[in-house]
Amino acid sequence: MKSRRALSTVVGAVFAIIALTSTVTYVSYSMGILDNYNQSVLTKNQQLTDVNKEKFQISSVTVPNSKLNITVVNTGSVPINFTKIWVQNTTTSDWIRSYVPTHNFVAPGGVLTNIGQNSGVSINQANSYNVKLVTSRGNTQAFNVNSANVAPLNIQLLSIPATVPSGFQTKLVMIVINNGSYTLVNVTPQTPIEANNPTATCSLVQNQASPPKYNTLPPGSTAVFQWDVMIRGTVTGQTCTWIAQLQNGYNGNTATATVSVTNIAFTSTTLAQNSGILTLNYTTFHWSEGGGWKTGWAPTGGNGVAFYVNMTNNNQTLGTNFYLSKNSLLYTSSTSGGANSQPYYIMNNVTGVLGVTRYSCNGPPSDDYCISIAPGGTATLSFYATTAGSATQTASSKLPGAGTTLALNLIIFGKYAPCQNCAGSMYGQHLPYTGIITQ
Amino acid sequence: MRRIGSSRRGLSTIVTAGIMLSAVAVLGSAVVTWSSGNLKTFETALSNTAASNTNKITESMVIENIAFCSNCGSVNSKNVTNVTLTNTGTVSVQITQIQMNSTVITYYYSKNTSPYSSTSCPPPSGVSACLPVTISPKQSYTVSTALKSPAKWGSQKPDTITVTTARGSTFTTQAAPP
Repeated sequence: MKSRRALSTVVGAVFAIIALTSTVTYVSYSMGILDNYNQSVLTKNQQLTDVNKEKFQISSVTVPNSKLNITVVNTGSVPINFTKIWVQNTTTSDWIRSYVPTHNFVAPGGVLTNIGQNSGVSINQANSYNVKLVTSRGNTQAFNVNSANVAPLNIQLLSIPATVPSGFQTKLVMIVINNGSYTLVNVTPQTPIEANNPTATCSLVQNQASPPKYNTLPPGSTAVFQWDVMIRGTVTGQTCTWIAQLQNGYNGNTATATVSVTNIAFTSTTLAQNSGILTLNYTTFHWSEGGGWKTGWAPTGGNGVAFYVNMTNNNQTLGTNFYLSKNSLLYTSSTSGGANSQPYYIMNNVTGVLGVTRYSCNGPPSDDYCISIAPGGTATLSFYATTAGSATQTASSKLPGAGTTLALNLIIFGKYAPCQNCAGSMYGQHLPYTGIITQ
Repeated sequence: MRRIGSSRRGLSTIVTAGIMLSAVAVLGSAVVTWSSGNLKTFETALSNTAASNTNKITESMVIENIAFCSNCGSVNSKNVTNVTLTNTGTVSVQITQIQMNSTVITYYYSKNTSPYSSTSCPPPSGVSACLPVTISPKQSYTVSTALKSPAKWGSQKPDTITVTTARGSTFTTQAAPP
């Protein structure tokens, strides 16, 4: 047999190799392209994931030296680089600035402070600003500075309790809810003002709110401020109305609250039921046997004696003082019983060396109702005379000798009246006082 | 002496083989050439498509800030909006179009040093060359767009701003004028 070269096979093989090579090359190239594309998708996905992971909160904003001082907490899981700050003055038109912060990097969980301190933007406290922080990943967060005037806020003013006796205090509570979409900063209330034509007399115990301000108020958050208010009136139902608003607030965005008086009645028929209207400050009790005022419960005994103590009028009825009758006295009684009680009548004044001024004054009525105590006021009452209105103390009023235990009692007579000579509610009260033992 | 069964050259076979070889070579070459051309075409198309899509994916931009300018151009004209764009991606982005509430912006105010101040707003420059613009990675660019007078942006209601790039990506945000 003749051997023949299989040329066709060779030719076919050549073409097959070419076809296979081309196919493999094309597939490899496609795979490479797809791999690059896949890498791009993965990279993009990672970037988007990082954008979503990037989270921060503005924890405080202050304006020292007319410069913004922003503190930011990185609450996300990726580092944050702040690339720009936009500041827009919303009080005026077309005023907007941007700058690159010098303090701009914060690690996850870290706190970045003093953002804005090196900017060229001066903050005028009278204006409102919209501030926006921009990160390198494109996330932004905006907040308003002094911006309560941008839109009306939900403001409520409550008096708690709304009805109080005259001379008592109530609280004005101002509730501010940020119903906007921006974080407000420097939320400060104005001192509440009283509306026109009040029928009661009201006054703020302190002008500054407690707390004075909120540095930041995120959307949906509530700020609560409060003031103490004293109200005085003569008739139940008298009122005064308070108006509160925020400093640099939205025009007309105010809230009102009304406080009413409900008076405790002190009529002649009910006085006896109202004990404790007059109270003593026991720590002010002093006695003197001529050697100066002394405290404690151990006088020497056997000498003339004077006493003084501070008394408070707790009746808060406006315009009605308590006038002390000349019959008001302090008397002693021995704990061993017997008829050895001694009176010591009220004086205008007694010194520590027993220099005395009798209970006296111009009338009418002359020498009576001389000392008066205003509502809520306190007076020092001195007792010395053996008889009402006199300046002397008899020998019988000397303290007994050593070893005697005495109980001291105070009987106050007087009247609640608008003036010394006015008719009023007669009032008497017995106050168990204190005890002494002569040494 | 006569040779019996003398050998003869198989010319026809050779000729046939030659013809077949030629035909196969020609046809094979044609097929290979055709296939190679097609593959090149496919490769190029695939490469272009992949590159385009890759760049489109890589393209990342944010509308960083929208500032409504009440008095740019004329007092209380309320038709100028300063749109600040920042390229946060790794490839350059060419901005080809900005729309406000689906209205294509064709008027711009050129960006000078203080385009936001009412006193320094440049006068209307008509159709400007503000767009298209190419923004390099990590760079920002502010475009002062203007609605054709007497159109104004509406106060206290959201306006939708859409930015389109040359690669066909769109970025949208909303902002409320004062």
